[in-house]
Amino acid sequence: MASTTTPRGGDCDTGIAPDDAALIQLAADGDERAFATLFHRHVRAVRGYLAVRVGAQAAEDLVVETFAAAWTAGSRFDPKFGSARPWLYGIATNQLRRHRELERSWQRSLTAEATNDVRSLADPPSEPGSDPKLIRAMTALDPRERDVLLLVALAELKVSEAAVALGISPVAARLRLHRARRKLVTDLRSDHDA
Amino acid sequence: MHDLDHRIRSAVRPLGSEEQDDAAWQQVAMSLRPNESIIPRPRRRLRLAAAIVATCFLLTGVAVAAEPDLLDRLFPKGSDVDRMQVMREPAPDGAPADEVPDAAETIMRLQGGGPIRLDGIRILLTHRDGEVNTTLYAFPTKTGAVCHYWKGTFGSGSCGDYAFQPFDVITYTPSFFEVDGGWKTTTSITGLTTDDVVQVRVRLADGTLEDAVMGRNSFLWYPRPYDNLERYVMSKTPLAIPKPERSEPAGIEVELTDGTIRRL
Repeated sequence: MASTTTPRGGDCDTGIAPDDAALIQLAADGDERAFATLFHRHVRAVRGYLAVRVGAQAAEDLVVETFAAAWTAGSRFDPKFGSARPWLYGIATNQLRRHRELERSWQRSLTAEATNDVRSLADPPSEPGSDPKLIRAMTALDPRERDVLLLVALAELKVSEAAVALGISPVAARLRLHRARRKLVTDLRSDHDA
Repeated sequence: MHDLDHRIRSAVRPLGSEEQDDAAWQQVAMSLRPNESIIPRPRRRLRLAAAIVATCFLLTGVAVAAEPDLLDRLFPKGSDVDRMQVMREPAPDGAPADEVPDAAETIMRLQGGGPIRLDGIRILLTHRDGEVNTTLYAFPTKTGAVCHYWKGTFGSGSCGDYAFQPFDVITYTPSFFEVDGGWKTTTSITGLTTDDVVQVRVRLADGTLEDAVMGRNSFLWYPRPYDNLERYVMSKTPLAIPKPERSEPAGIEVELTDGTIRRL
């Protein structure tokens, strides 16, 4: 594992991009280049997901931790999942759960910005998402509700899968998802009315 | 697809530049090489934390130190699993597939344990308290991991070091169950043990110790009363889960066969 190359595309020799499962299998056998390909394939999506949760700066640390954890867990990736993205979102969510304080401070800073200068939230230069009203509404959610919402909406997990990823019952996951959606809709509507 | 989901998916866009990606990759790549790592891996990070805690205890004259290797005894994986009698024993004949809880396969897959080897399922512990019946299972998986799964009112499980890292022990949620009931959370603790562990005790915030229920290479602790949580999540109106009789978990003590006691 001495290589520091950072391949960005697929397999240059064949011109065929190996699928995620193949890359993870190679990485599990110690192939760092394969893992680098997987990294570059998904890093921006994972970073975007994390940035919405904790801000762009803290997201960078968690990106590294997420992929370091993925390297460790890669030998146990189930190829039935196909794309590694939901799996990576799941790992990122677990990393987030361990760094809840980051998320809380991000929310506090957003709240403070909103208090001081509402316009800055409407079009902040560093806002990671393209829908600031939605992002702001999501930051107001209970983190546990947001976990379920994002795993379903973004990682496209079924509610039952999000439940097991988070170690909660399907009923609890459904309740949280319902609450999250209801709060978001209410929040966005009142924003629109205002 | 739900409109809101679509809006979320559109809002959370990929983020980064080539320079940013390369810088992140360099850090990831370094963390993949144990000797060059600048990102402490969880186990290393825990040992570092334990060393700091131990130093603090020494400085304050308290003769107690967290033992990093204690985690190998409580949540064995890899070669540590060889120190589990229950996994060394021959697999029970014809373990019926219907003993595998419905959600276990999915949990093990999502938590990185891989497909379950149905021929190797072991029941570690059965426990009844009031109307709640708990069973703790161990599953070898086709990828060589050993996972545990506990089924009480609902079920949850853990595999190796993916979903629940060893340092979760520090927050006392190595395996836990959360239920929304009037916005309360309840925590239970369970895990595997190696053969040299004879008793696990949970230290509560008020300083008292409570014995965990011990099974074969396993333990289970839950807040009393052991309520049937289903009634709270199934309720159409939010119900508050009654406050446990005892205070919250604040630590774990482990008694070994040689009589020594280790603490986390």
